Amino acid sequence: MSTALSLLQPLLDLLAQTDGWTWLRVLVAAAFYASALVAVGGVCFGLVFGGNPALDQAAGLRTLVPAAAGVALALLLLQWPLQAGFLGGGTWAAAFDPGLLALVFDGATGQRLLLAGSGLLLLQAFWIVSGRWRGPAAAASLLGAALVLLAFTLVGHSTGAPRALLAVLLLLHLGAVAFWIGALIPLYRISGPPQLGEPAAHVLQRFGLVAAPVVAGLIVAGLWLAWRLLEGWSPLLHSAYGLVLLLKLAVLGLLLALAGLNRWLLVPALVAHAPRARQRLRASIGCEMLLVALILLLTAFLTTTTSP
Amino acid sequence: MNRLKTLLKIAPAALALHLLLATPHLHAHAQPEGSLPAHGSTVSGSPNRIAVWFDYPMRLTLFEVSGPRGVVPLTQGPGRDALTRFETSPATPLSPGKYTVRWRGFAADGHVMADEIYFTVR
Repeated sequence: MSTALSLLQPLLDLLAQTDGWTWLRVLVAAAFYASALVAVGGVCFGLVFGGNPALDQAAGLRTLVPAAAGVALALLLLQWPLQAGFLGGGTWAAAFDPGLLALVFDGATGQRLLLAGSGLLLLQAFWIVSGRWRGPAAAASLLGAALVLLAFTLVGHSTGAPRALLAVLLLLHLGAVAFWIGALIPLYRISGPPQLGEPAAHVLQRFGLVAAPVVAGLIVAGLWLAWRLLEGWSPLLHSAYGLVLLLKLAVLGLLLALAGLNRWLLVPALVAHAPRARQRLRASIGCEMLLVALILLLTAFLTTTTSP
Repeated sequence: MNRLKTLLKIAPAALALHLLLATPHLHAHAQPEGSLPAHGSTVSGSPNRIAVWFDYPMRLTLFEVSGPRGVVPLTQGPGRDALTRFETSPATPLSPGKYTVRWRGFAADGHVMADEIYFTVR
């Protein structure tokens, strides 16, 4: 018992130091990650798996993508005064201090805000991705998605050298994350109505095939990044960063188990018209969403409160 | 569609390339390298200087010392320029007791950093 407590001590110390203002920043960052990735991933899903009018209507991406992008934009703007407030000691007066706001806007954080903000505005074009405007709207949405992902590379570890290579590969990594997260809501929606049976099952099967190499890449990159940032495996158990990362990896393990369950059991059961297959698959995707939310919360806590 | 599938298939290979090429170049955010008085130390009498230094430039936005009598007035506050060392002095000698140095700032990579340093004056 005492050994377990001593192992957890760095994390307990960090939790004790985390004030209300920081928790607010963590929650807003997690919500921003979620909404931005749902918007970006929704565009990818619509362009890769869209085309069937009934499925497109059930997936509801034409409203989901602009709505998620709008929420992400609001949260992005909220992060600005929250960061200024934290830098000034965690007060609302500091949050609206012109000097601190200018300081936050100056440099990488300001560039990230402008780039991500422009991308999220462009994602509103997904609203009109049909009829004769389909081509330009899809192009604008894709550009918006790319800008949002690019914005993530402006702050943090990817700014180290060699910057171009790190940025390109981080984009690939984030694109894969967005592809997975952005698919969950449309997959949940299209697996609901029984009348969509055949085409929905086809999309679910195709998603399983396409997602497999993406997930494999995420595992390789995640483990390697953890090893590099912690400079070995020992800090996993001896630093607050390592312990939160371990927790995140554990939740990711559960998420992968659910994804495997969906691919190899629940989707084949749906295709074979097994009883209650539809309900089980939707429950499983719902659990995936909860686990993704937990992972994003842990990621936000990790990036906001500590460093390797 | 086929092109997209090909791209997705080569994603793990590209990430493996990331592993091979980028490994030696990653670095962590700017970290506090040390402080004066040192974290957890006990000093005899009021220290003349209170300082903190970092491994990469940091734009300090808050540097606050508090003790048994509340916030300690300092002779100089952080100027928000990027620096690797910040040094100041208590405006009046510190009385015996436990003190906390709380600082916040911006690292060069855009990350907000913060830490607390504790020392005791005997």
